[in-house]
Formats: sequence, C-alpha cells, structure tokens
Amino acid sequence: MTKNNTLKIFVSAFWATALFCAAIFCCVRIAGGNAFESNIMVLVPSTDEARPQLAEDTNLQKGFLVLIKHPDRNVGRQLATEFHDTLVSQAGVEKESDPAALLESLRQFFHPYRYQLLSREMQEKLSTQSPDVIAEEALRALYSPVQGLQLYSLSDDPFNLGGTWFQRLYPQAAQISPEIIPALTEGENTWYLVRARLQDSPFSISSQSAVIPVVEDFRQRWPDAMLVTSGFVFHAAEATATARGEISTVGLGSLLGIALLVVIVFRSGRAVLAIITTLTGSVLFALAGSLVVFDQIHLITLAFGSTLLGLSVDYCFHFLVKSRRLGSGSVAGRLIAKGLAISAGSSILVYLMQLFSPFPGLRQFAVFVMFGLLGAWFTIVFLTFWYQDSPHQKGFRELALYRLVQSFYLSAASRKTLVISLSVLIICAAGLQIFRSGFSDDIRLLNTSSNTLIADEIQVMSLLGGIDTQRYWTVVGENQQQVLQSTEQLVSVLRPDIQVMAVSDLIPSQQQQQQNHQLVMEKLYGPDGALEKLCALMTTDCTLWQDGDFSFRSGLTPDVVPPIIAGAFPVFAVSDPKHSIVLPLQGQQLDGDRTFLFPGANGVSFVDRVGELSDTMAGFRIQVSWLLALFLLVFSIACLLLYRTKGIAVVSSVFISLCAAVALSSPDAITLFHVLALLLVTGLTIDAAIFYRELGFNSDSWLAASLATATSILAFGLLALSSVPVLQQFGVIVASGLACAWLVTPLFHLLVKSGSFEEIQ
Amino acid sequence: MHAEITGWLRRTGYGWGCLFILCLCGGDFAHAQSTLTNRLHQADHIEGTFLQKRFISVLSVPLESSGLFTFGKESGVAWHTLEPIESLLQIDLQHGVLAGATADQLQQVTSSQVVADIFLGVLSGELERLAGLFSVTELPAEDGWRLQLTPHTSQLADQIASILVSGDEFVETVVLQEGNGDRTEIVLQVVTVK
Repeated sequence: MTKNNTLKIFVSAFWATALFCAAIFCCVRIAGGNAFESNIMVLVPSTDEARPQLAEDTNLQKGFLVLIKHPDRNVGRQLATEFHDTLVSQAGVEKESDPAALLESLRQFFHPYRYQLLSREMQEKLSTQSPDVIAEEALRALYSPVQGLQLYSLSDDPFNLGGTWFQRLYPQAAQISPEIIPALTEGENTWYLVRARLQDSPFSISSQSAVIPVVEDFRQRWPDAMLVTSGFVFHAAEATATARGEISTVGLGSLLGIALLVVIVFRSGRAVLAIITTLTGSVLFALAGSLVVFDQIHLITLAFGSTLLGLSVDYCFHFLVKSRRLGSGSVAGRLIAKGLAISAGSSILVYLMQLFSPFPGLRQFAVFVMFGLLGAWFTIVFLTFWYQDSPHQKGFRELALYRLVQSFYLSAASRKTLVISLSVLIICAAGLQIFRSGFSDDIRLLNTSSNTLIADEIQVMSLLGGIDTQRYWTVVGENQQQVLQSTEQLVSVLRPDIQVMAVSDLIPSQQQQQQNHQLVMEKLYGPDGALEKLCALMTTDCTLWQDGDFSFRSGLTPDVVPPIIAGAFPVFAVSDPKHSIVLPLQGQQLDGDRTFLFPGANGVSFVDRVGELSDTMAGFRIQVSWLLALFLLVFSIACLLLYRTKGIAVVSSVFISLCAAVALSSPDAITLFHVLALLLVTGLTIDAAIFYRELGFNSDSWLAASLATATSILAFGLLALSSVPVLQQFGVIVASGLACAWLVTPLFHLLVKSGSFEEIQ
Repeated sequence: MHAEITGWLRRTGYGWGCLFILCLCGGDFAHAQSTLTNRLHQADHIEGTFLQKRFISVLSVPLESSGLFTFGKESGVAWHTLEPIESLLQIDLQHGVLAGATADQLQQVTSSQVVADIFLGVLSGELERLAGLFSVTELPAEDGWRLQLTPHTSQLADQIASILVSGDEFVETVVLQEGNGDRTEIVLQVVTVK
C-alpha cells in the first residue's frame, strides 16, 4: 500500500467516523427534546449574579393573562368561561391560585398585626390629622351605604387600617369584580380576566403548543370578541415561530438556489452529490460541535447559522470547477489546498473574534459557523481523494457571458485613474454615511415581538397596571432587618409621585412596625384617641370596640410569610435576608433626575437593565470595531509578506468591499450588528481574493467565485427580508458587501498585475 | 302621583327591579322577569327618602341614619345623609364613587367596585353587570315580590353573603347581609318622579 493510499484511507475513515458520530449525537440530542432554545433572554448578557434577578425569574414567567371582551357583556362572560375551561384542560396548563384563597390567607395571616401595618397614606393621615377629625370621618363612613375597600370587618377594624394597607399592595384590587371569571370595567366595556399558569417554562415548545392553538382557535371562532394577551409564553411562541420561519426561508431558499445553480452549471449527478455531501458534513459538524459546547442552541442561532450553507458550498464550488477543468479531483484538491486552508483559516479567525463577545447568542453563532466551516473544509479534503467527474464531462464551454466580463475588466483595469477615483469615492461615501447616521446601541434591536403583541402588553398594563422589571432599585444589607430599614429609607426619599412595590410594604421592619403601632395607639385607640371620640359621637355603647386587644405583636418578619402570599408578590420571589428589590409600577417617568435615581443610601443601587444592555452593546461594538481594524492591519501585513506587491489586490478588495457595504446599506445608524456583518464580509471577500490570487483570474475561477457569491448573497439576501431587526441589518450589509466584493475582486487582481494580463490572454 | 311614578318606571326601564330582571338566571329568571316587568315603573329622574339601619356586631344598638336620595339618568346617584351626621355620596360611571361632608368636599373613594356596581346598577338600570355576580331566587311574598341575590363566588360571599330585595310597584326594602355577620337594612320611599 502506497503512502498516498494509506493517507486516503485514514482521512476517509476518520471523516466517515466523525460524520457518523456527529449524526448519532445530533439525533440523540434532538430526540431528547431539549436541543433547542427559544428564550431571547439567553442571547443577551446576564447581569451581576450577586444581585436580585427579576426578569429571569422562571416562576414569574410561567403565569400569563388573557383579557376577553365582547360587545354583549353576558356573551363575553360566557366566552371567557369557556375559554378558561378549555385552557386549563390542556396538558401543562393549570389554574392560577384562587384569588379568594389568597385574600383569605392575607386576611388571616395579617389579622394579629393589623394595628401595626399602615400604608404610607395612612401614616401621613394619622401624623397630620387630629383624633377629632379622624373620628368624624370614621363616623361618616359608618353611616355610608358604600364602604371603602375593606380587609376586616368594622368590628375588627373601625378605622379600616387593613383596607387602606391592602389597597396599597393591590392598587387595582378595588376595580376587579369578583365574578366567576374576574371582570374589569373600562367605561362601557367589560374585560374578563382569564389567568392561568404553565407547569413548564414558557420557552418550552410543549408549553407554547398547549396555549397558542387555544388562543388562535378562539380568535377564529369569535371574530366579534376581542382577545388581548400578556405573558412570556406569547412572546416566546412568536419568537419561535419567527425563528422557524427564518430558518425555513433562509435554509430552503439557500438549498433551492444552490441546487438550481449546480444543475445549471455542472449538469452532473456527481456534482450534486458532492454538494450534498459538503452541506451535510458542514451542517452535522456545526450542530454537533455547538451541542457539545452549549447545552442548547437558540433558534435565532440556527436562523443565522442557515447562512452557513452559503459559505460552506463556496469551497465545494471552487473544487468542482477546478476538478471539471482538470478532469481530476485529486489534482484539483492539491491545487486549491493552499487557498482553501488560508480562506477557511481566515474566516474561522474572523469568527473566533466573536467568541470574545459578551453576547451568548453571538458566541453560539461563532461556534456554529466555525464548526460548520471546519466540517466543509474536512469534507472537501475527503472529496479530494474520491471525487472524479463523469468521463464525458470535459471542462466548461467558454461562456459568452465570461467574454463580456473579460472585456469589461480589461477595459476597467486599463483605466487606473478612474478605478482609483471610484475607490476614493466609495471610501468617502462610507465615511459620510458613518458621519451622517452615527451609532445606535438600542437594545430594542433584539426584539422579536410583533407590534400587535407589544400593543397588547401596553393595553393590559393600562388596564391592570404592572411592574417595571427592567428598571428598579436593589438593596443589600447585613441582615433582614437592616435590608428592610434601608428599603423603607429608600422608599421614603423617592419622589411622592412615584409608586413602587417593595417588600417593606408587605412586611415593614420591626422598627417601622413599632412606630406604626405607636402612632395608631396615640391617634386612634389610646386615651383621647379617635375611638373614644367616635363612641362619643355615636352615643352608643362601644365597650366591645374599646375592650379590644391593641397590643403590639412581634414576630412579623418576611421568613414567616406563607408561600401563597409570598408567591403573589414578585418582590418576595427575588428577595432574601440580605437583598431586596424595589420595583416601580409601570408607565412612570423615572428619567432625568440622577440624584433621585441614586439616592446615595447605603447598600442601595439603581438598576437599569435596558441601559446596561445598551452600554454592553456599545462597548462590544467599539471592541469589535477595534478588533476588526487590528485584524485588517495584521492581515494586510501578512498579505504583503506572503504575496508581496500582489497582496495589495487582496487588501484593496477587502477594504473597498467593506466601505461599499457601509455606504450602500443606508442604515439609520451603525449598530453592533452592522459591524458583525462587516466581519462576515471581510471573511467572504478574503475567500474570493485569495482564490483569485492562488488560481488566477480566468473563466473557471470567475465562475466559481460567481457561484459562491450567488449562493452567499442568496442566503444573506434572504436574511434581509427578516422581520427581526438584527437579522435584517445583517442580511442587508452582507448582501451589499458581497455584491461589491464580487465586482471589485477581479478588478483589483488585474490592476495589481500591472497590465500584464497573461492569465486572460 | 303614584300612577305617574309607575308610568315613569315602565317607560325608562330604570328602577330597582331592573336589577333583578337582568340578573335572573334559569327557570326562576323567566318567571320573575315577567312579574317585575309588569310591576316596575320607569323615569328619567326620581327623588325620595331613605331610612338606613346598620347592625354591627360589636355595637349593642343599630346605627340609624336617614336622608334623601336622587337618581338621574345622567347625573347618577346622590345619597345625602342628613341624620345623625351630614354626608354626601355621589356615584356615577364617569367619576366612580365620591364622598364628603358636603358637595364642596367630595373626594374620590377607593371603594370596592362590586359594591359601587350594585348600588349604581340598581338605580341606573344598567344591571346586566350583576348577572355575573349573583344568582337570583324568587321568594314567596304576600304582596308584591321578594328576591334573594346569592353570590356566585366565595370571594364575593366573603363581602356580601346575600341581598334581599322586596317591593311592589317600587323597590321598597333592601337588606344587605355581609359576610362577617353585619347587616344593613334600607327602606326607600319615592317622593318625586320626573
């Protein structure tokens, strides 16, 4: 056995084994049902793990709400009841905890402490009003047929301390009518509130499959009714559908385009088989490699990764064209080996840069494409040993189109001044574009939710209120009481118009409870207090009221709160003995006053998740821009060292393509994703320029480069149609950059040959 | 005068009884509806007097109050307590529940929506909203009619155990039994109908 045969068998066996293992591994992981992820939040950097996390709290994410309205209130009620019953009969969906049970728990648990729990409004009232005024107001309330919101009976709580305290905890409680399906009146309309809870994560496909069809079925059956949704599951389902759509569009579009090009150009079943083998190898290696590195692959990564098809097939086109021309796969393989290695290596280097990204999504994408390119390269090496074109297929007929191209480039290359002027113009246009549009790091670029879904959330928020989970204060302390006191201090210095939800609203510190109790005794139940005055005004026997036990009760601390109550308050879910969180209610203006946002109290800090993520994006955009610049510098030096003056063609092609991509993409503002797209343009342009450098400019290399560009543009061009801003921006800039690279790479190649067009002639 | 009031109530469909027409369900509903539709009067504006007694478990004697009430299709309900202490309660769809010592001192009250709904619904005639809250039982009555409203949900039953309404051509008495054992009895007498 010759040395060459040994290598052939070794490489082939290794390739086949690796491919088989990758296929089995992918099948096992996908069949396991947890290979893919659709939670958009895992694509963005996580925040400081030491501080309370709210948005990621999975328990909060499991609950969801559907509001139903019908012009006929009674029909609306009936529809809502049916909808609720259908929904909770689905596997994986359960009823929300009974509001009556929660109310009863609240009532019973806090009953012994009712004289030491005061809302801020009641604290203010008792501090400022005299017992006489309080008594007179209480007397009017006693004779009124309509009582304020009450938690305890008049016998237990004649001044309704419990009701005002409860009102502070649940600002919307008084507006919700306790029908079988709770109802909310909005002017002439009545909304029915259907609440339910998922047993699993809202990002699991099974959860989404349980909820979404029920909602869609309702909308189809009852067009007169209005249905508004709110909850993570709806956004997750939409993101999943979008990603699936993108994968289908880009993946299938690329595949169809590639198949069509192969059939038209090669007219050979063997060539088609070679392309399929390359694509299979590339995708299997990409999937397996990603699933080894990461527990799950995000669907957006797959959507981005679908473009890999366009990249990996490039190498195969170069190989097939050369193989057809030379009539030998092994000779063609040897000829393109250097170019293939440099091209794949430089592309992988470009993607390696993304591994430093703080965005997990970009790291996933980089790993996916790196493994895919490795797989494609490895498969081409395998094909080198085995591929042999059909004996009756001898080269390509000289393309009429190529003659036109040839004369165009000959003519253009002879006009150096014009080419240089145009290049300068493109560079100026790119500079002007950057100057005009500036930069944007808006986190909303990552949004995958439709305007309809966002409008639904806004409507629910306007009806029911809500908490702002993106901007809040965190409080850190040595122990529970210190945390509670710091929280109370923070709440007390906030602007009076800002409404917040804090743990201390439900469980005040022991110090605050004693102050409250002291105030209650002084103004209400003590000697000369409002109760005495009230009894005097009523001229009736108040003995039972006055003989009540008004003593202070110790022991009310956050750790003794029953789970049903703690579970109903998001602030409890993310608080512990050393941390707490203060959440502003939705729709409040928090911007502008820095001293207000950062009151400077010990252990208090303001968290702006949106701002933080935008800052992260800005930082990474700058970082990637510098890395790109550094890479271009190093690459230019390497090219000049490797190819000497002829390397200028490669370097110029890359620079002009990048500038053209920026100038032609017409962005409103340059974002991180434009810069990342430029990385890809860099890699692909280097591929084309290196192949021209290695193989020369001729009909074969031009055909291979054209096919490669066509498939890549097809893939990325389809991304430009995406509804996700990130993908859309990526697609536009890569498509325009590649189109330019396809045009200018041969031109610079010829220009640098200093007019000696021996390859052409 | 009596006939005038009767005619007014029939014309507009507004009156205490409308509550019970619209919130009746099942077999009882049809019977009670036909009874009440024939009996109740309709008007754009009514005025009258009320006598209210509140039985609170810790107090040995009921709290008695009296005053005037008005209902207008546009202005809603005004409940003016004159004795033993003056106070004013105003309820309409636009402003919700307002209360104060006098008309100048009215302030928004964060009242339980369901209580306000019942109160306003009874006098405004927009009573269908109560169908989701209560079931209705028609009780035997020597003269006129008697209806008992029972909450559908335990959450509401914690607040209102039942409402007993009786009358003939008008709603004459309302007894509201609270979940905690307290009770409110209201006797209405219509004086002016426009």
